[in-house]
Formats: sequence, structure tokens, C-alpha cells
Amino acid sequence: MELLDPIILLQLLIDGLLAGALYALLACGLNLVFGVMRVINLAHAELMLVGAFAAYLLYHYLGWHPLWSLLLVVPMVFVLGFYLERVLIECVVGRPLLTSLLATYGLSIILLNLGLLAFTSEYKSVPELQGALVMGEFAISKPRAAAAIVSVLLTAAVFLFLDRTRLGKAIRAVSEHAQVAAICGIDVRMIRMLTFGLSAAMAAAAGVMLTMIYSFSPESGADFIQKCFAIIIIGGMGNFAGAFYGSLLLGVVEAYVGGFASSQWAEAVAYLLLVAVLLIRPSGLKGVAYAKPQV
Amino acid sequence: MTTTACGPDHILCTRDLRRDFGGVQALCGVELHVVRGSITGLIGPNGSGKTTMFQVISGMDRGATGSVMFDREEILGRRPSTIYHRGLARTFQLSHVFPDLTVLENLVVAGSRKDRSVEERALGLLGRVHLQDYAPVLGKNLSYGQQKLVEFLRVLMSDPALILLDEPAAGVNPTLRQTLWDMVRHLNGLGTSFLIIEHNMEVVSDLCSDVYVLSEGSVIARGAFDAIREDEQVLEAYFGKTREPRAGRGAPS
Amino acid sequence: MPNRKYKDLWLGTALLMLAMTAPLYVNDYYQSFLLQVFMMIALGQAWNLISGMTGYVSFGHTAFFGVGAYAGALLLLAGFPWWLAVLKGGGIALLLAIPLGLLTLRLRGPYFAIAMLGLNEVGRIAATLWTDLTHGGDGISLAPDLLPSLRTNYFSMLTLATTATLIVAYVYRSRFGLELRAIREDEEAAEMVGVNTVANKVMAFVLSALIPGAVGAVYAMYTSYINPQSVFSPALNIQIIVIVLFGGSGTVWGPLIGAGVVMVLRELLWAQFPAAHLALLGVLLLAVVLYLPGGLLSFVRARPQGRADSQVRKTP
Repeated sequence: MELLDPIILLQLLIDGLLAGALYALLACGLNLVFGVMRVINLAHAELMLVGAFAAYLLYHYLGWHPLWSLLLVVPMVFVLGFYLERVLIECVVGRPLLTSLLATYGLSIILLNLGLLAFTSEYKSVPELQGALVMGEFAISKPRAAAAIVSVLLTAAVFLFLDRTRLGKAIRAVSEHAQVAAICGIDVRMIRMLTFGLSAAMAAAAGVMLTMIYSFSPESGADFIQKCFAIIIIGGMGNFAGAFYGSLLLGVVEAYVGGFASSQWAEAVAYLLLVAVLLIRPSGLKGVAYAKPQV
Repeated sequence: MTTTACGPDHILCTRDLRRDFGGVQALCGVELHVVRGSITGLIGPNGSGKTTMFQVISGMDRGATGSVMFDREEILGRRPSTIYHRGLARTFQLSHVFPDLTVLENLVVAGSRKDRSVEERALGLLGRVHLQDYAPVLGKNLSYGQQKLVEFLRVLMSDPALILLDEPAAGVNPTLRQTLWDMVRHLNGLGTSFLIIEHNMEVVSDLCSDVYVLSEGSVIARGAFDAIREDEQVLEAYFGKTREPRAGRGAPS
Repeated sequence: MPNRKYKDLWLGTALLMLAMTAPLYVNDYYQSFLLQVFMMIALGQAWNLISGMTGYVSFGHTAFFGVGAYAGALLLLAGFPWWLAVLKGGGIALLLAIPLGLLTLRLRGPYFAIAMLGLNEVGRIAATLWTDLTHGGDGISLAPDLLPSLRTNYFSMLTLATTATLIVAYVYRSRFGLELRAIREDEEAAEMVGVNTVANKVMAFVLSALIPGAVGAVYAMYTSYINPQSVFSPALNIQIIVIVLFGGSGTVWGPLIGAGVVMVLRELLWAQFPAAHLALLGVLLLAVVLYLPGGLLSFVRARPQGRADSQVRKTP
């Protein structure tokens, strides 16, 4: 059968990994917030779209290439996230998880509809990088490749930051045991603000990259947040490496389903994977078993 | 230590109970028997596995292997609510009173669905500890001691044959504490068996006819309190040193 | 407290009388408006049953509404009488809820919420993809001669709203409701005192799917045209959540109050600025979650409880 041609299989694999890399940037940010604050940020995808629309505006009015926009948008959204945490998220830290779910859900609705007011529900895109690199039998889409490279670099940078630097270790300390970290002199609230800012910045970066690949509208958040949850459930909540591998897995599965069935079915993959994993192993395949939030 | 077979005069028997938490052996083959109608003590240093035992026996923790026989029936792996309805109830170390339910509701929900007079039963129990006026008070508005007392009354609603008490007197003032122990004695006189985790050795020596000592997941001693008190292994577990061969007075506290 | 029970009964009956006689003196436009209020009350009370009473927040409950809408529309097209289509719409939603509930309610609260989040989208995608049955994105149009009149739809919705409210009122005072509230307070402790938490949660969940299914069917007959976007609607989702939380979740009157407020707001804003309306709902949701978790009802009806000692004579 033609479809089982190894070239096609490999091509789909490559496409899947490229998409997965972008998802990884997004999902790791969400995971980080959960790990540090035990808050599930339902507005994460909308923060991504903030980045996307910012890049769109910069492109449309100033002609900026998205890769340049990164330099402006990412710090901007970091600051946004930083203060958002102070104003909003701090109020729900330590409260039952459902409180934070509802609060961030409210935030996502606000952002989504402000976006609709500002930009209407028309689809936008940034058709900057076009075309594909042809390497032998394979075609690698340029925008996807660029997005994937940037995403991997940023994700790796965050990982190294968490692993090697003092601030990163402080963040990890807070995510393991906030009370003990506080006793050791770590300003836990500042850490939370920084973490949320970082997570928002990662989302915004993903958003900027997104503009080159997909067309998007303020309503596109729902699909992405669903992907994030599928990834995090697969990888285990709070597990950085798990989120990374889960993202790649999702990207690849979507690519294969899209290739063999239809792109509409590919949309559904995230939901179906989520349901499948929740049924088989609620704590995720790699999981940190879900622990009760530390009161 | 002689291994006793599980006989008809035992209301609870565990055999080769093991619980592994990803590398940490919380229980390493625990064998424990509670004689019907007795008050049995479970003591041991912190981290020895006492609460894990309770979690496993009561069904909250279903990851253990081995056997738990309650009234000649295997209950390992069954739902906590099923075990409760069979007649085995348990209290917690920290108060788990329902905060936004009234005291009366706290008790009624623990009673049998088919019981038509469940409210009277609840009020009766409250009356025995002079808390009947607190029936309409929300759980969160009680003092800590009162909460623990209400939690204790709650498990009595189903008239259990065996009650697991996890440090019932911790954090409770002396008067209420006394009320609690009086109730335990009273119920025991009526036939209820108890397995109690306690750190207060006076209480243990006073109340318990049989004592198990747990250390690092294993039973290291078993018997009457006075015998345990002198046991080398027990003292080492608690104090980490060998004792001089002198008759000591007073229980280690 | 017998006093409050009778007051509630009087007030409820009075409102019901008003609602039943309204079509006599109110024009079509307001009948439509009231119909939508009843719809929100019914959906809100149903959501209240699972999310308010057990604390297991269901983010995807509109899926049952959507399923009921499609079921109702298709049954109507197949020749069934409208009232049977409504009942079956509810029935189909209920049947779907059984396996769904059994699967997802084994999970703890937050995992359940996440699983539910996608349910609405799954419904939408399924409706879009299953073109043989649902005509996909084109939607289903119902010819006017098949449809019951506005007045009939009005009374159908009113019946569903009343039924939903009565169910919640009954459950609230029942042993079942007490067990649900215990689960909400402390699920582990509830399990430990003999409450079969899974059975109770599934029961509440399944019960909470029945009404939205029926409401969806009536909605289809009211609007005469449905498509995946309109019935598997995230906008409806947020409205239901805000209605219940804003009014007071876990109570009987909460959704009634909340529906009133949200629908009035909607009247003012929706026609011109639907996005502004929804953004405002988001703000309301935040306000409630952060500052008034018990909703308006807790504000209006503060429980007269202080420290236990202050109101009870000292015991010896």
C-alpha cells in the first residue's frame, strides 16, 4: 500500500516532531506553573494568543519579522505575567485546585472576548517564512522548522536555567516544598511571580512562532489548551521531561492521524488521547502521582 | 515471638502485610491480631508504619499485599465505605469533621440509610457527652477538642464491632480527653473492640490489654504493656541505645 | 427550619403562578425572553446538581445540551411527536452520561474538570464529522409545520425549569444530598464513614445530564435551526457556570437569582456586544471566585453562626 511507504512515514514523523517541539514550549510553561503553585492556568492558551496577536500587529504595522518580534514580545508578556500573578493568581494560591481552575477560566474568557472585541473572529496569520527545504526525499517546511528550532532552544534554555542557576534551583525548591523553601529564606511570592511571568513568556514565544505556521483567531485557544492538557496528563503533572516527551508524542500522533485519516480527525487526537490516558492511568504515563495541594 | 494462627476469638488478623512506596518499605510483613472484645494498643516511634497500617486496614490505601481478615472475612482491597458497613470504623489523627455541615448532619451522614430513627441516635450520642446543644452548630465553628469528640461519635453511628483510633487524644484538653477514654471503656464493656495508636504510655498501660510495638515496618514486640516496657528491642527502637539492667520506674514518655 | 421552608414554598409558588400566566398579558418578544430565562434556570440547576452539590466542577456540560438538541431535531424530522422528541432527547443524554460518569468520576476533582473541559469540543467535532447523521457543519433546519408554537415551547421550558428546581430542592433536603455535600466537604472522610462516593457522584452526574438533554431538544424546536457551533457552545458554558456561581452554588435559589441577573445583563448587552457580555461574565466569575465564593445568596442570607460558645449555653 502506498501509504506504508517509509518515505511518507518518515516525512510524517518529521512533521510531527516539528509540531511537537512547538507544543513542548507551550506545555512546559503550563507545567511549570502547576509545579510551583499547584495552579492549573486555563488562560495559558490565551496568553499564547497575546503573543501571537502582538507579533501580528508588529508585522502588520511595522513590518517586523516574527523572529525579531520575539525580542520585544517575550519580555513584554513576561512582565504582563509577572504582574498578573501578583494581582490575580496570588489570591487563589493555596486554595482548592478548583478555585484556581474557575478563576483562570474566568481570565481566559475575559482575554478571549477582549481579543474578539479588538480583532474580531477573523483568522489572521503572518505569512513571513514560506516554502520548504528539500532534503533528498523529504520536504521540511521552513516556518515549522524555524518554529521548532526556536522552541527547542527556548525549552532547553529554561531547562538549564532551572537546573543550573541559583534562581532556577529556588524555583524548584518552591515547587517541591513551598513551606520549607520559605523557611530557608526564599521569597516564595517573588518566585511565584517570576515563574508565572516565565510561563507566560514561554507561551507568548510559542504564540509568535505560531503566527508563521497556522492561521489563528482569538478563539483558537481552546484547541491549544486541550493539547496542553493531553500532553501534561500523558507526561504527568509537574513533570518537565514528561511534558517534553508527551508533546513530541502528541505531535507525531497528530501527524499520522492527519496523514492517514483526515485533518479533522487530527484535531480530535488531543481529546481522544486525553480520555484514553485518563482512563488507563489517571496519574499519567510517566507520572508524578497527583498529590493534594499543600495547604 | 510466637506466631498465632487466626482463630475465632480474633476480630482482626493481618498476615504478611507489606506496603512498598516506590522503594520505601513502610510495612515489611506485619502480622497482628486483635482479640475480640479487647483494647489493643499499637505503639512505636514516628515513621514506624502505624498510620500506614490503619490506612491499609481501613481500605484507604489499596496498594498493600498480604491479608487482612476482619471477622473471618478478607477485606484487603475493598472500598473503605464497604469496610465501614461491615463494622470496621476508623478515626483520623487530624480532625476530619465536615466543616460546613452541622454537628447533627456530621453524625447523620455516618449512620445507616435505612435507619428511620438516625437523628435520635445522633442526638442520643451527643447527649452522652453533653454536646446535644451543639447539634445545629457548623463543624468548623467547634473547638478542636470538640471536633475530635464529634469525629469519634461519628464512627459510633454505625455501631461498629472494631474501631481503629488514631491518636484520638492528641491536641485535646484533659477534660475532653477523659470523656473520650471513659467512652472507650464503656463501649468496650459492651463488646466493642479497639485498636488504638497512642503515644501516651500511661494511657496505653491503663487501657490496653495487649500491645504491639512497630518499628520500621515490622512488629518488634508484642504482649502486655509491662512486659513490653522492659524489652531491649523496644527501648532501642525508641531511644537508640541499650539500657542498663536496672528496674526502671515510670513509662517512657 | 420550618419557617424558611414555608417562605420558600410560598415564594416559589407565587413565581410559578406568575410565569404560568405571563403569556396572557406579555407579548411574543418577552415570552421569548422568559423562555430563555427558564432555559438558563433549567441548565443552571442541572449543573448545580453535579458541580454545586458535589464540588466536581463540570466544564463541559453543554455537551449534553448539544446531544439533546441534535437528538430532538432528528427525532422530530423522523416523525416523532415533539414531546416524545424532548423526552427522548433527555433520555439519550442520560444514557451517554452513564458510561461517561463511570469513567470520569473515578478521577479526583481537578482531573475530572480537565476531562470534562474537552467534552463540549468532542461533541462539536463529532457533530461536525458525523455528516451522515447530523449534516455536519451545515446544521439541521426544521420546517415550521413540524414545530410546536412559541407558547408550547414556553411552557415546555417552564416545566423543565420547574422540574429541575424541584429536583435540586428535593435532593438538597434528602439523605442523597447530604451525602453529596459530605463528598464536597471532604471526600476521604465521607468514604470513611460509609458514603459510597463513586456511586453517589455518578448518580448525581447522570441525573444532571437528563435535564440539559431535554432542554436542548426544546431549544432546537424553538430556534428551528441548529448547527455544531450553536449548540455545543462555549458561550453557553460560561453563562451556566456564572449563573450558578454568581447566584450561589449548591443552593436551590442560587441559580434562579443568577439566571435573572445574567439574563438581564444579556438583554442589555448581547444584541450589540456579545463579546462584551461574555467578557463581563468573565469578570463576574472572577469576582465571585475571589471575593464571594458563596455567591449572591450568601451575601443576602448570611447564616447566623458565630463561634459555637457564643450562642450555646456553656455545658458543664
